Amino acid sequence: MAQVPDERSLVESNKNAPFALIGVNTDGASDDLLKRTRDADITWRSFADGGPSGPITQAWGVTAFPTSYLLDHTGTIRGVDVPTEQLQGRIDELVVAAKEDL
Amino acid sequence: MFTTLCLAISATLLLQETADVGAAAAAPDIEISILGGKSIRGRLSPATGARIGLETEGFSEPLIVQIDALDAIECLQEMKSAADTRGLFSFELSGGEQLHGRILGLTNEAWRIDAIGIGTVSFPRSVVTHARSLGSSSILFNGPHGLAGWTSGKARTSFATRGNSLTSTSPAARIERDLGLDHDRMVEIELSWSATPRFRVELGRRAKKSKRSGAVTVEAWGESLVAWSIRGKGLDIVELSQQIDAESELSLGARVTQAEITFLDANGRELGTLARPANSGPLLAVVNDGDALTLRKLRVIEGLHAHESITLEDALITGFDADENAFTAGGETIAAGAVTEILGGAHPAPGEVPDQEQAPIDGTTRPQDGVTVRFRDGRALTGAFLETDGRSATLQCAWSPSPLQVALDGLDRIDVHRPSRTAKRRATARSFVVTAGGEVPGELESIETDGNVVWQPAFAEQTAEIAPAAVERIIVNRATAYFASKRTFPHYIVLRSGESYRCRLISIDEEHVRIDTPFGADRQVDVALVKAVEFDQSAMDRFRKAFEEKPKDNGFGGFGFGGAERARVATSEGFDGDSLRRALALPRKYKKRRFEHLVIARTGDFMRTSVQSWSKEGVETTSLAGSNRVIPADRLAAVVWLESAQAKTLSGETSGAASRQARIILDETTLLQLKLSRVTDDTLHAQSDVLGDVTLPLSHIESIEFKADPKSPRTHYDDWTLKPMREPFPDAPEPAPTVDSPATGAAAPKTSGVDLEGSALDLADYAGKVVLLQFWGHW
Repeated sequence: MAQVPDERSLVESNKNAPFALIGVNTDGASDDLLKRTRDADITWRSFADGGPSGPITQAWGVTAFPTSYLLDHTGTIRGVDVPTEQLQGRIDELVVAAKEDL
Repeated sequence: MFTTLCLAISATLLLQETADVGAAAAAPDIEISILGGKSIRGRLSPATGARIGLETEGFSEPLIVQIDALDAIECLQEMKSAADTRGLFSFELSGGEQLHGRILGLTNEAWRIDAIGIGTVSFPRSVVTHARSLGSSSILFNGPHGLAGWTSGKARTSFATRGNSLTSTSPAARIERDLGLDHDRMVEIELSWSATPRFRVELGRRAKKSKRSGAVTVEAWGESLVAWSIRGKGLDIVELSQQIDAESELSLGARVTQAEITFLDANGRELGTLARPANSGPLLAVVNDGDALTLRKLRVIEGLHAHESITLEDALITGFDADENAFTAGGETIAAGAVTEILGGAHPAPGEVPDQEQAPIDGTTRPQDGVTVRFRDGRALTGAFLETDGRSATLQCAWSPSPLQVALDGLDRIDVHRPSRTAKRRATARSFVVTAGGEVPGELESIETDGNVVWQPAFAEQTAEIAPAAVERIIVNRATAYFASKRTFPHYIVLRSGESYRCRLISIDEEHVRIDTPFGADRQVDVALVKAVEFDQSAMDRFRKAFEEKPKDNGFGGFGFGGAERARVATSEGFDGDSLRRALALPRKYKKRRFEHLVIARTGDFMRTSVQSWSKEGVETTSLAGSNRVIPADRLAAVVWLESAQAKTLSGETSGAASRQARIILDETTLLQLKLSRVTDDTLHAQSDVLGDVTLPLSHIESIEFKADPKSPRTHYDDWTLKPMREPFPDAPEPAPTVDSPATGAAAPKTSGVDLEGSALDLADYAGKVVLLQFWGHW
């Protein structure tokens, strides 16, 4: 949660590029989950995985949170838990590659 | 020079009884200021030679203090002015001294008077610069000399004593004093400033009333002086038409009655009158609202009425008839009662050394080397201090052939003129004992088996014994030696009692922590006494600092609810407070297992676990997920023993005579709670249950504290307590066996489902785009 402002600026900086930030939400189902998410200004989409041991979390083998994976335009994993200050640089490289392939 | 206006009295003689020298008044309460800025309070007690005795709380014997080690002695008691002053004269001498007394006789060479507090005394006529009849207008207060007797809304140090005056450079500095302005009084005041004058003099304000009511205030407004008061709903103002400049001084008089206050200039001319507010009081206050203000002179005189004054020139006076109480001057007989002023012959400036004819009888004693004793009624005597019996002082004054015994009734202060340089050096000692009476500089000689502290005061010749109950702390202040090397003792232990010191960890098990300490090798400490062991102090210092400020918003601190298999090496820069709280909240399903430790990595990550053992390689732990792993020593910042409801809270206090229990502070990170045995030969011997016998050179010690701090020592670990957490996911399945996470270079697993709004979502939808997939939770 603490990283939300960084994520927001990431979304903003890359809004014209072939980039998407997708979340996998690991809260249990509840009536106000959507509201809380919107209140936190989280505008991007998230999978609702139903809890910290949901199917997507298990498929990816995630045991600690938060965890992030950086994927290139072919769906290949190119980075795990890339530090915040390096993220934009890495995204830029991958966006260049994505555009070349078009 | 302000002229006193007095009532003419008849020629009837008023016989004045000799004041009792050394009357049965108790020794005055005094405060002595030692060079170096410290002060001690006590009661004056007898001493021979150039010394005073000081009975002070806690010391079994009075301290015998060399007078040249002192700055000043202030008398704290507000004593009523001694005798009725009618028929008396005040004599101002060329050294700045002042005597009050009744004239007994006059020859060509000398005056003979019966002086208040001294008795019969003679002095040469040429030494007198000015004499003044105290008459029916007795001088009630002649100051200001020092701050004793003045009170202030702010700290006393906003006004400071400089010689005979009080100065301030702090805006809003204020002092006030009860000068008995309820009755008919004449007030003379002299102020000076350098810079734009901004000050207030308030006459008649009661301390408890609200700020500005109850006073007639004189204030500088622009270039003139204005007096004003608040009465009823209005403001009364009168301009005093005194011109004031940027660097100047002011002499002002005020005739104060119950009903009104009339202001007078230096020549006695009336400047204006204001009605006095109904609720005004006996106080006078001086307030500095600007840069610099000096109160140079303040006199409060009883009686106000005008009369024709008779001034005589000393040179013209040929004699004095004691029976008639009259002077003969220029062939006439003039009643002493009618004379207001006698102007002295030679008129040397005050403060000048008397010239050759008045050379001191004892050639080696110059007044400037001695003391000046000042009284509240304006009397002042300068001389060498010979001895005191607690109620009077014996001085050798320059103009008197024999020493004078001066009663100390009505004492204001004693200023020491030229303190010795050795005394100054000794007095700026670094060691102090803090008692109820004040801070006494000196050296710790020993602590006896009965607990008495033997102290060598810096300015006294003999050692003094202080009862243990009277000692608050001893500031040894000599911690020059580095007390424990970081290489030998690379770790740091914090106990629940608040003690903390360097150590080397030997082992950890369920019951004990074994450490080598600088005070003894291989000590076994019950885990119930231990709060934490720190491995990398600079890492802990960083985390402490970050924790005390706001928890940082960035970083990947902490391990999540799912349990941890690896210490994450992340770029956190401090504790993430939320993560810590989550880590300390143990889900109820794990409550049966003992996860009583918190392991903190140097990166700021932490995990709750159960520490099994310690070896040079690191800490072996059992995690929530059930597996054992070793966390390498070079990754560790600290291991913290968390408290839970079941944990014992042994505070580690030792039993025994409470009076010898002390906290020994070696430096800002090292604190021991020990039971003192004794101090001898600059070494402290003590015991503790944890460390056993401890021997410490005084040169390693910062301070020894006897009275416990009202706040017991706290570390930031105090708030770390295990709490059960309400299961947020009551339907959450048992943790599934872990799957190996895909690594860089692998293809992303198939990922599809619904989003939070219920719409279908599939990772494959984003082919062709760079994707950041983020696993997160509101928790």
